[in-house]
Amino acid sequence: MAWTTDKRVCKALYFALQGTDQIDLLTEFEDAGSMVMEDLLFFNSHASEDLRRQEAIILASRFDSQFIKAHRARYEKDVSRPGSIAAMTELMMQAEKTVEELSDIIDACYKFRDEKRKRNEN
Amino acid sequence: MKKGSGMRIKTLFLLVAMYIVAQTIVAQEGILDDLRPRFVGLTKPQTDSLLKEGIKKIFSNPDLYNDLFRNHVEKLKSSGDRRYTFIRDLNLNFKSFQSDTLPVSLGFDYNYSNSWVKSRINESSTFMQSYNLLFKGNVAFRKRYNPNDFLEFLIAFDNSFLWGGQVAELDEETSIKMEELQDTILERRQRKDPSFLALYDELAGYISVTDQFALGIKGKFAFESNQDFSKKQFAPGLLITGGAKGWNKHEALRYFNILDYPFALIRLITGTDKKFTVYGATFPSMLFGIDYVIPQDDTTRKRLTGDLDAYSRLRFEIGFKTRVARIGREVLHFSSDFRWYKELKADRAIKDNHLDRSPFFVAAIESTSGLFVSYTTGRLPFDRRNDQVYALGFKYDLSNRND
Repeated sequence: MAWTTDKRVCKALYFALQGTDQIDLLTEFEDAGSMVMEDLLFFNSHASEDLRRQEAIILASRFDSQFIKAHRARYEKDVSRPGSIAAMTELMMQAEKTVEELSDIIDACYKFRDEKRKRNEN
Repeated sequence: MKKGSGMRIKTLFLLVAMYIVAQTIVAQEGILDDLRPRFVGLTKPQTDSLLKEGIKKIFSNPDLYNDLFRNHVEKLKSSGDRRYTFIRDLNLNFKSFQSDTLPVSLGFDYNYSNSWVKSRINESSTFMQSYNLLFKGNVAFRKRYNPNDFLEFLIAFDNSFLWGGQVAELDEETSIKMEELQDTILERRQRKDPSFLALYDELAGYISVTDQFALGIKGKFAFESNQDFSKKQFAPGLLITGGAKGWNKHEALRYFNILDYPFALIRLITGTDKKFTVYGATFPSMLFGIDYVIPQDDTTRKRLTGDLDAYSRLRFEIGFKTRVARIGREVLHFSSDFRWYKELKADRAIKDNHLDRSPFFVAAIESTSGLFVSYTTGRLPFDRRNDQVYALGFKYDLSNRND
């Protein structure tokens, strides 16, 4: 999936990253997709794996709450809150994974409003 | 287990070293052949001396090896080779080591981790359990110049408890309004209309979130060694991690993030933030643990104490990362980590040689384009000396950014 303003999941992630200070407000949407986890504030490459995992879990849990309660997204079939948080955490633990790749994981776990509309139209 | 894991890591190093030597020897011969005719009027020893010096400079640059390795990864990727997934997840970074008065030495660091997770979650808290596999370390091609001579292989069982971080639920109509406002911000950004910044205050009004706290309890089994495996030990242990995030801008928690105050000031002075803002997201994380160390091969320890008896070791760590400034398109981050190891009830000989304590500190300023400057002081377990290491370099990504 491409990093595009046509997809709500990309926009939701972009604003969630800004809302949690992971990227600053001047980071352009187009640039955010190719940023890697190491570029985000939660990822301290000098810290131990133990500390980094904790930071990733905290942020993934925060994202989950924002997607479900503010965007009113729903979990995809056979996906639960623990599964979504775990999937995001695993990707976020890898320094070189991109924000676009994180959006792919989120897209696989959540159904945002634009997806629900499309499915209803079909 | 001991021999198997050691052998596998040794084999990995050997393969990397063989690959580099094979690639660079051919390249060195080619360059020598090209350059020889250009030295007119010099004697053969003078020509050879100049050539050797030049070649040494070219082939001691870690960028060359990062390029070679990146090309190799790209080839694996394009050929659909199954080894690509493993190599992609193995974060390998060639770099030069510089320690005190020792010469610069070429080498690499590596880091691989994988996990299997299951969780239990209720309305107010989250409980996650995971099994983790990790191996990482620093390897210098000339071992005696390696300032961070510590390799780790770890299997762990992790339990994480989370409280808070809950966003207040929006009704359907309000949620749609919030998303429309996000769309308006993006449209204005695309039109280069600077008024988009003011809309962020309005957007923040839609998201109300509680502060968040985390507690982790981890049981682990680690195999630690230096790079030639002349010293090695098993270190099963118990770790407790703690963290907090001051997400709520109206609560006091974020103002206790005192480490961020100097950086909040820099961000204000450089215009990165329009007002003095302490980030609730950058609260330092902490770890406290106890290991039961079972030395296997440690000649230094055996010489000092006369045996290789198991001992208990305390461990403390605090990590911190924050934004320093934005300069044009570049964003600068400051990250630091302090670790402290302390052997309990250490022998007099161990204490007299200051081997019962290992403080270690690293601080770095890194830009999003990869440029970094870092300072490391202290030592990790196995290091005999306290080293002060300065590094200036450029990070290459060997990842699948373009996937």
